[in-house]
Amino acid sequence: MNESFQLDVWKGDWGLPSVDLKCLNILVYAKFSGVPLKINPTNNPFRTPNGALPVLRCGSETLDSVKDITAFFRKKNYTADFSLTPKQCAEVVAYDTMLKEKIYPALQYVWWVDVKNYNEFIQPWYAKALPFPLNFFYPGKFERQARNMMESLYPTEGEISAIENAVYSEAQKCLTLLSTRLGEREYFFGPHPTSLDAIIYSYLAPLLKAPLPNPALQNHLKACTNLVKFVTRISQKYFPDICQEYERKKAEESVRKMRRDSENEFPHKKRNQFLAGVFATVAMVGYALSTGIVEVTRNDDRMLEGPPDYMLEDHTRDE
Amino acid sequence: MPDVLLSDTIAMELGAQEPWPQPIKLYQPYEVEQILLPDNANCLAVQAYLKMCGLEFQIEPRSNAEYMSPSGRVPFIQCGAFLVSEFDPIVSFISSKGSSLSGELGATDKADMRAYISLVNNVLVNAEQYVCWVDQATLISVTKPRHGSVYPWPLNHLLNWQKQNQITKKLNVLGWYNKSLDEVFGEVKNCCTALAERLEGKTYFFGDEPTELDALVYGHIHALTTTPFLPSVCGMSATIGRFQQLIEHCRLVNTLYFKKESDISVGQVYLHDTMSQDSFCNSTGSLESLFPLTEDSFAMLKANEKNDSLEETCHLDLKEFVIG
Amino acid sequence: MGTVLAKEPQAPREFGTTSHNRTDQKREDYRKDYEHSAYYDQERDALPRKPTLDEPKPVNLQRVRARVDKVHIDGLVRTKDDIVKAQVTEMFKAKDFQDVIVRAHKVRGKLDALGCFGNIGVYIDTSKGSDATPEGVEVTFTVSEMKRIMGGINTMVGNNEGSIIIGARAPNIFGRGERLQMEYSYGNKSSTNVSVSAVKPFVDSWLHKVLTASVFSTTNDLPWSGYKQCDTGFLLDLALNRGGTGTLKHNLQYEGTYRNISASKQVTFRVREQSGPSLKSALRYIGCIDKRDSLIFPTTGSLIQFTTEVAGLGGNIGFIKNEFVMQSNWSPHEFATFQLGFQSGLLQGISNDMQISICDNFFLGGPLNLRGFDMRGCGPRCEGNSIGGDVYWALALHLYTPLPFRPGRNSFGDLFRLHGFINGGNLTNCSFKFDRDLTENLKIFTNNVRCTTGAGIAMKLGNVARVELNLIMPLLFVRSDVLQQFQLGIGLQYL
Repeated sequence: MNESFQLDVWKGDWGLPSVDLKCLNILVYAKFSGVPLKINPTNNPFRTPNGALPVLRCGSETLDSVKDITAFFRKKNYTADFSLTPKQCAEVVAYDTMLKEKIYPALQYVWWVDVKNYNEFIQPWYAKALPFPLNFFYPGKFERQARNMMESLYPTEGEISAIENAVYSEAQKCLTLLSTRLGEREYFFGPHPTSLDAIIYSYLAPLLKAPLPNPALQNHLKACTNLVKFVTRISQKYFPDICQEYERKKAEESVRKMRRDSENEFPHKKRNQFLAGVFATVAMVGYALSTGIVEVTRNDDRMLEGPPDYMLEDHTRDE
Repeated sequence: MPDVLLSDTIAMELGAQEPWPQPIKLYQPYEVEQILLPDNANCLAVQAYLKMCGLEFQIEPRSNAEYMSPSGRVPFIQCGAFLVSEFDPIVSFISSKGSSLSGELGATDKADMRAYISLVNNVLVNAEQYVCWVDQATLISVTKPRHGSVYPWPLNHLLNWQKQNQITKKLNVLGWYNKSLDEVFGEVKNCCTALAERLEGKTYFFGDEPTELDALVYGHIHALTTTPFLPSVCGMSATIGRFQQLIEHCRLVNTLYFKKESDISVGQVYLHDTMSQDSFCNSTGSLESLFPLTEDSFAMLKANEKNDSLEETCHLDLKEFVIG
Repeated sequence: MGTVLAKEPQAPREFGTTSHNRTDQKREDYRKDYEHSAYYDQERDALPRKPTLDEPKPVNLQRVRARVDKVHIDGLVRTKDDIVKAQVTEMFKAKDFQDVIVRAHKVRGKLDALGCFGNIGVYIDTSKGSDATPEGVEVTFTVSEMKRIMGGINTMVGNNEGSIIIGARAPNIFGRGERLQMEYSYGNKSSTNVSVSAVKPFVDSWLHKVLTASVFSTTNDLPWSGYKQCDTGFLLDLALNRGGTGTLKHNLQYEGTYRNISASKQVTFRVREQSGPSLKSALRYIGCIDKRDSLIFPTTGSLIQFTTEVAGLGGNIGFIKNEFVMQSNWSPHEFATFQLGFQSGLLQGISNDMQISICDNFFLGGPLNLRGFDMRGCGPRCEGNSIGGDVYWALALHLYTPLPFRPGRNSFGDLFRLHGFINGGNLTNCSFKFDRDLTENLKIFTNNVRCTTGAGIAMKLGNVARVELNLIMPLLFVRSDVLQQFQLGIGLQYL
């Protein structure tokens, strides 16, 4: 039992151990069942057997699908589902397919097809995360795959907006369903987390945490407060470091931003005010002079000054 | 997006205000020579659901049912001014009218039921599509001749090819295309295990009354176990056959709602019991007004003129199809 | 054709020029003559032009005997000799000088019809050299061949959408008038139309045959009927025409089309149940006699056109469709032209195994069709969608006048006409039967006849299309019809 499990994953962000759904699923599942994992955030789907992360390496074995990896963990006696009845296991399977059917297309849509999200947020994120030559290739590839998915799921819909509506509506219904199913419980099957919780967490957490520019579906999820609590609970309990670090970073960021906002908005306020005043005065005076509103009549002054002298002189002469 | 939900609810509310237009018309492809396994399973599921709700309906076979459907999938029902296609929307439409089979379930059970419906819709439907369109033996010997049967010569190949592309693309996206036949059977087995676990020796999946899940499972299990005789389908039937509970459930629904033993082939079942006397009369009566008469409905019409006995007509027709 | 009068060839006015120039001058004069005759040829019916007084006395060209010794054709590069020879042989049959001119004009038209040459000039000169006969003339056609490949990009607005059209043409590929044409148009409603056609003329005999094979793919959105139609198919067309320029034309066509109808979201079930693919395989015959003097604003002459289409040679669409189009023009005065147009059609199924799709039906109404009705606005409807009919007729009587006070006369103003019209018609689904009582079949002319009257302005666009802006008052209509009081229409065909 002294093998070490090495897991290659997409790196985490936004307080999540990984941004990718499948990687997240494995990470959470491993936490739930207590697998000692060594995590390598490689961000490199190129150096994998099938071009997809996560990849589990254990001795000579290399596994790259969620199903295989969980089965492998189970074989090694790591599982979170000890306490489940067969009926509950059946439910796990059923919910897994439901999430795959209803929420996965919506996530793909939000991530890759929604133009605003893709251009402003997703594409830059992946371009930064991927190593150099690959970052030109993979975002486009994922986008094509997602578009392909939309087209083949809704072959009769010509317009992308109609597809968007259909996908979101399905996902919203499913989220509501999950919310009612969870109710006030801590986890879906009582007080202990199971593989179903890992699956649901992995679908919901990225949607909830990612700072998306177009938060249409995200807002619906935020309205389901028990699901939000569920996600936060798992994050805080099982990934406290990452979570706290992100919170701290975010707080720092916001504080720094606030400070910068308050300070840096006008860093040389006094000087600028002074300069602006001077400039305004100069400009006004210049204008007034140039248009002749105010005349500086130095010559006239001399003339005015002159005659009294002269008169005085004259006067004196007369005298 | 909220607006789709809004429009959904508006449609539902509008639908709820109208009284039930009787009977509901169910449009589907021709059962005997055209329909394919996945469509057949869905049509059976909808028929079973309508019967469970105790709603009168009449089956309108159309060769272009797939193209007529608003979503491009069969079956669809016409209920007054509304056209609703596919199992899930039909169920929610009918429950908006006040006949729901799952109204008394608790919130948790409802959610579980939705999950199981997803399970069936994903695993069994994709497995059926796989067998029909990816498995070469079935594709060549059954799927292509049947799917193309209602179109003239060069068009049948073109449409088969188009449809094959469309299904292949979808299965590819969903990750089914690259599976082997054994893997597909494995998926079916997992799904059936889950369903059998849920059934746990009870009569129905939820409570003592049938729900939409019962209708859906019945449709798929019945279609899969009674469709003859190809190695790949047989493999699937054998996989399902091991789950005695599901077979029992299927038989029960069949006897209760379709009043037939499930040991005869699907086509025969349908010519006998869904084309019962009155619905057949209705469909022939309306044939004159429907204007593209297709070959076999015309044959039926002709035969009908010749001898008044409807039973004989059906048999005669059936023979023709068997010979053809 | 009457006598053609022309100026007598004048003596060279510029005596200072060399004799070499003199012949050029003469040639110029002949050209002038030719142009005069051509002018007269076009305006056959115009008032005879009186020779002005200061002109020298006219000569009757019919009395000037002439014999064509030689025909030169300048500027041939890749066009093969045999087809050009076949066009010009009739020059040698000329007996007198007028005959020479008339035939030269005709040959010019024929050469033009080959579609190989950009422009064609004709020069007639007296024959010189050792083998010249006394009355001999030489005729020279200077042609300039078209480039190997021509193309263009246009934009078009119409039918509720804007589109861009990219066209390319390779004329005269193998030197005998063969050409390949391609057109691709892309609309902002993502409708794409593509057509590729290959044309091969057979021109070496008295019967002018043109064989055209084309492949096309079109998408039409028809919101009036609530469906979208995508056609993909090919068309084989054999056009027959005596001598290349005759008035009687025959077209034999074969068309195989795969049509896909997709119903829009809110549409009546009657249309929805027609959706789906269908295959039409049809033979068509078009016979046309066109003696009009212009396509768009004719002043005299008539057009008669029969179309018969038989679908059902394979495919699942079967019908016989007959259409008849007639137009007659009469100008009692220089400023008034009456035009009577009549169209009718009959569609019959041939077998109960074969369907007739909604897109095979006749539709009536539209700004250039039955004016006063919306597009497809007349005839059977179901829940707001026009579903068409299988028999129709439409009649229109126009009175055209030029613009009052003739602004822009002989130029811009001639593109416009004012017109007043009255038109009527009917479209039903009566399932016409020959064995029925005649009065039953003639009910279409008595029951539910639609009639509208109105006036407006019409404009011609590039001598092929027509734009109309009309104000219409309906006289007879049916409650379900969709009426329009103001209409703007652009189109190639009109009633």
